[in-house]
Amino acid sequence: MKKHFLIEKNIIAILLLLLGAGLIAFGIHSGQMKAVLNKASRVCMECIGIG
Amino acid sequence: MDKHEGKTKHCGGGVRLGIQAVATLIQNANFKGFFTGKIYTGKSKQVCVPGLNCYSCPGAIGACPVGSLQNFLSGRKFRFPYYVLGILLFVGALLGRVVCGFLCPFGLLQDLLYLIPFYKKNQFLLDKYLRYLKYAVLAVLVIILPLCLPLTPTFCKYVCPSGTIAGIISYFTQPIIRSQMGKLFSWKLIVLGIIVVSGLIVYRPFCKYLCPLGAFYGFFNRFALVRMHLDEGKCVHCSACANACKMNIDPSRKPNSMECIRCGDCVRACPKSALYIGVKGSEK
Repeated sequence: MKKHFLIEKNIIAILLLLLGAGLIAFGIHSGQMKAVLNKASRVCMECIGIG
Repeated sequence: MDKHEGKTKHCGGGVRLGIQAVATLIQNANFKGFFTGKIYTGKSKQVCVPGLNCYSCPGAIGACPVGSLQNFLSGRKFRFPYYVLGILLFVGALLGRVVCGFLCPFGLLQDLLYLIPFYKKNQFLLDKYLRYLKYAVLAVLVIILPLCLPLTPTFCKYVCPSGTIAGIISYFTQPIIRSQMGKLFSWKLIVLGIIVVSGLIVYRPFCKYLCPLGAFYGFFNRFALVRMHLDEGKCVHCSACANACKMNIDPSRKPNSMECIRCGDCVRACPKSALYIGVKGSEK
């Protein structure tokens, strides 16, 4: 009963969490994790003010 | 009279400051980098951290979500940022702006700045209008301009103070980078300077007026799993919560305002324990 109440009161958050998890999984599947690593492991010249 | 004028109020208790410090240290655990100036290139950098923490900071062991998002949007070939957006959506749905109050390293810096005894003026006429600026920053500098200008992460390039701090560290540790710094770095130093000086006077000016991440997470405050709850039966409308709030919100009227960073000052100030932050339905 309490579990049902918990889900009911947080249904939007739960749906958004599932959507977020789905997007993460699809992003990983399409190799986007590598793209993030590729960018993050080099010095971003714009970020530090060189341009 | 401003409710915080002439006094430096403790930033939401030592526990929160402790959590913020630990979160900052974890996100910047490549301590060696602060001395060598070399950035971390390990696998953890494929995961975005929840708060604003530049991936070009020599200490950073994770990727910046705002920078990563712009990287996808401004790429030569457009790719929808499923992964980064998924992380932002997941974190937002789970915590909302709890990230701002507890996990963001730049939030910690601003909290520490506000602790410095100085002239305080946390409420002023333009405050409520300037709040909208961060949504414009999110829409224009983080989404629209990177989509229109290839290879230009506009927010990171012209505004991001976290990147400027990374630049300052590189300035002192990397002679090659130092020799290349010019007008853009000077501009970014001015922006950082304005944020730091205003942070002595106003509580968290960057979070209130400029942060695109705070703007994004703010949309989730109403729906996030961890959110604020008001027990209307207990509330006596004494305004103690509103007076304690340094983000200038009235939690008894809008407990899940998009501006709330979940610092918990209002919860501690409430004499009737009418407010709490947690998961609805999990109370005993």
